[in-house]
Amino acid sequence: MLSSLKILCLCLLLSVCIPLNFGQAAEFYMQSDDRANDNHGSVDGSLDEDLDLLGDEEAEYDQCDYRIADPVKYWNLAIYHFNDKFYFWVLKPLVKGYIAVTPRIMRTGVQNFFINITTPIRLVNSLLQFKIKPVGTETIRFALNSTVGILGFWDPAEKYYGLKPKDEDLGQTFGFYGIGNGFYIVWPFLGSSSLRDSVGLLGDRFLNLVSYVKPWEVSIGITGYQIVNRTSFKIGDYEAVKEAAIDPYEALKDGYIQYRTKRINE
Amino acid sequence: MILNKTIRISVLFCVFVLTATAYGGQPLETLKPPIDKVLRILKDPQYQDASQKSLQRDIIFETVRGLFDFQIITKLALGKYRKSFTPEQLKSLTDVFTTLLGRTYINKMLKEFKNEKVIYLAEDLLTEKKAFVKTLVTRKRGDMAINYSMRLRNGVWSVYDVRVEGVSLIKNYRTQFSQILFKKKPEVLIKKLQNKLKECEAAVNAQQS
Repeated sequence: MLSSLKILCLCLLLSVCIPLNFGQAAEFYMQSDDRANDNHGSVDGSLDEDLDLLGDEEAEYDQCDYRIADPVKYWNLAIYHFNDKFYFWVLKPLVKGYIAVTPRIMRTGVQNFFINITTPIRLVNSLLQFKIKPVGTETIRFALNSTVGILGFWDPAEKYYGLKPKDEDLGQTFGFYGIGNGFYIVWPFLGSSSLRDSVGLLGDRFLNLVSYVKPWEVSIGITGYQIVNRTSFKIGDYEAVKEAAIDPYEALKDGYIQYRTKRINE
Repeated sequence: MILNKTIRISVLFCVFVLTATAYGGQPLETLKPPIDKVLRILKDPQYQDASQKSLQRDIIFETVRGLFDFQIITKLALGKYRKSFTPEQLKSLTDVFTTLLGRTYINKMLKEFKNEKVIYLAEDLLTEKKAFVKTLVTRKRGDMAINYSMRLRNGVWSVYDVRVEGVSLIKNYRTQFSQILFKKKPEVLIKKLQNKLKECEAAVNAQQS
């Protein structure tokens, strides 16, 4: 009686352990030396598995919407180098000085102010893409922040209602209607762009209150200040991209296109 | 008495089996502990002194290293050009690329991450062996979406691509690599990466001294 129970228990135990545990443990151990000589995936059929994955992914990575023509590469490279020097020699020292004399709370306030007065850009472009929810969010945000939020310096809409602005611009609207990037272009001071997004930027100027300020020198000055203030939250980003890149120009180009594609698809 | 012992052993085995299956079970469960550990290490006061930074860097790298499948990452980043690499070349490229990726990303984390939280948004199983884990890093200066592509191999989930704000690490390196390999030989790329690594190390040393 006792011995038969014992055998039964053992059988149960073995049947549970062998397929699952031993199999897995064996796989686990194999995997460590598998990884060591997996350079060509020649071990135990992992080649097939690798290639399956590679095949799938490769099809996705080679998708043409992530590629962009670069017919004006020499211009782009020249401007890229100019922007790079401009960032390290002019903008970064300027922004560092600005951070030193401006408390964070004030910089955040200025940032909020600029986000608030550019509401028309996001509102109109959300509307053009039939994105109803963002239209509502932007309207409420603008009404609340311009009044209770003291001309937009403060952001009660996000603080109390969790209403976050969603970046929309004319370039994304064009993309939404199926217009492609065109080609890659780098602008002095503004950086990476595409033909489509450059046209978009021009169009968005009509919706930007800052561009209606007269005289134009003041308008440019405000835009410059806006860039300095915005950069004060982003010091280190460009350095990180550059540090991680083997070819920073190509890394930025590809990063820009991928980022824009994600924005358009959202 | 013997029966008692057998039951005890079998229970023990069952527990072992169950934990073993759970370990290889879900992509999110594989991803979460190392990431949470890295966040703790980043905040840990014992590493805040400048002299401890290289130790902190090493510990972080050891924590996340097992999470990533650097061999597949390298192969995918090479794309069709991987066929022109000999096994030895592929190995040396994988080694230098692994170290370089570790360096640059940990440097970035050390500079920027202080009181960030990681929210695990979703875990999409695309197939039985492929998953996409969405996370959001909340920062004062704006949230950052970081998504991980993972796959199951030999019972273990590992990461083969990271997308930061929609920018895929693999795609980004792929365009850079193909620009070089389009005209030049594999060894040129390996040399370039080795030089880049030296540059990074020199920059880190300069910061510390």
